[in-house]
Amino acid sequence: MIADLTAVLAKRACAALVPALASVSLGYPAAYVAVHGLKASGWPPSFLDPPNWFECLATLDGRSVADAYVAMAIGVHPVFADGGSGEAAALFASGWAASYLLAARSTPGVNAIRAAIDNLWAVIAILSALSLAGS
Amino acid sequence: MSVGTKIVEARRALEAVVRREQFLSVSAYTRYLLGRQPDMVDGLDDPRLLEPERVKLKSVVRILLEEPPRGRLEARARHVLSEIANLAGRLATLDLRWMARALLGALAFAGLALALTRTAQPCRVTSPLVVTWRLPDGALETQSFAPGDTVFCTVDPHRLRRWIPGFGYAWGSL
Repeated sequence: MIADLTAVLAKRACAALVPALASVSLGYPAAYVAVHGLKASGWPPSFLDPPNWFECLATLDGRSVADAYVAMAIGVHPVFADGGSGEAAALFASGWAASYLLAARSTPGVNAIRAAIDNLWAVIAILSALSLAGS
Repeated sequence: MSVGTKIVEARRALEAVVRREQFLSVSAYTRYLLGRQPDMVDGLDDPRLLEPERVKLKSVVRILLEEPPRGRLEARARHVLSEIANLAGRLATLDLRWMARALLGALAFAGLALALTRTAQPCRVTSPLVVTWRLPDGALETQSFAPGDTVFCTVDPHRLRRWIPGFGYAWGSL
């Protein structure tokens, strides 16, 4: 009984954490490229472009990663024209869709609200873990 | 006085007593109905109540205890909550896999299309140039460039852009 419950919860956590991890690590550069284009020579002089971003990820500088997403979520990121809230919403929607599809693959009953809540806690957990690791 | 008359009088007296008791019972029942609820519960032990009135009072008390009186606001709140629960249940059981796939595909397609159309590179100005910029808020602004200056042109070489930090792109045409 408890083993079954643990297995179900572990599957659910994986279904939420894998897309959340992917969208956290790749979401910012994807949004950056969608706004500023593919060529690095055409990018504006900004403090956090994709090479800097991957450098932050490689050096486990979680604080700037988490700060970038928090600034996007509240719409004050200077790299995006609208502060980044639209891009953050698109990233969250893609994470929701991916976690929903993964959860629907492993369990017969599919619950869209649960997938959205799972995506939310997974993103919050990853960002808080990153900011704890960076401080 | 004959025996028959005595019997008739006794029966009348008895009927009068019974009618009086019935009258008392019905009036007590009516008073309990018009009174407050705790009094109504106490009234079940009232010796003035006869059996029919006691049964009626008991059924009234049972109904009142089963269904407490609700205000209109509470009824509306209950209705709204049940509607929300109904909607959430429908959404929970709905199969949204195709919607999720469509959303993922549309987001990926839109991101790729945006990235391709917004790709830009620096270009050198060879002859004097006047550019009319359309700012993100729709305002127009002209700017002149001398040979040797650098502008950013997109895939379409006649379309220029300039980044205004915290504001967005100004798009210009030659």
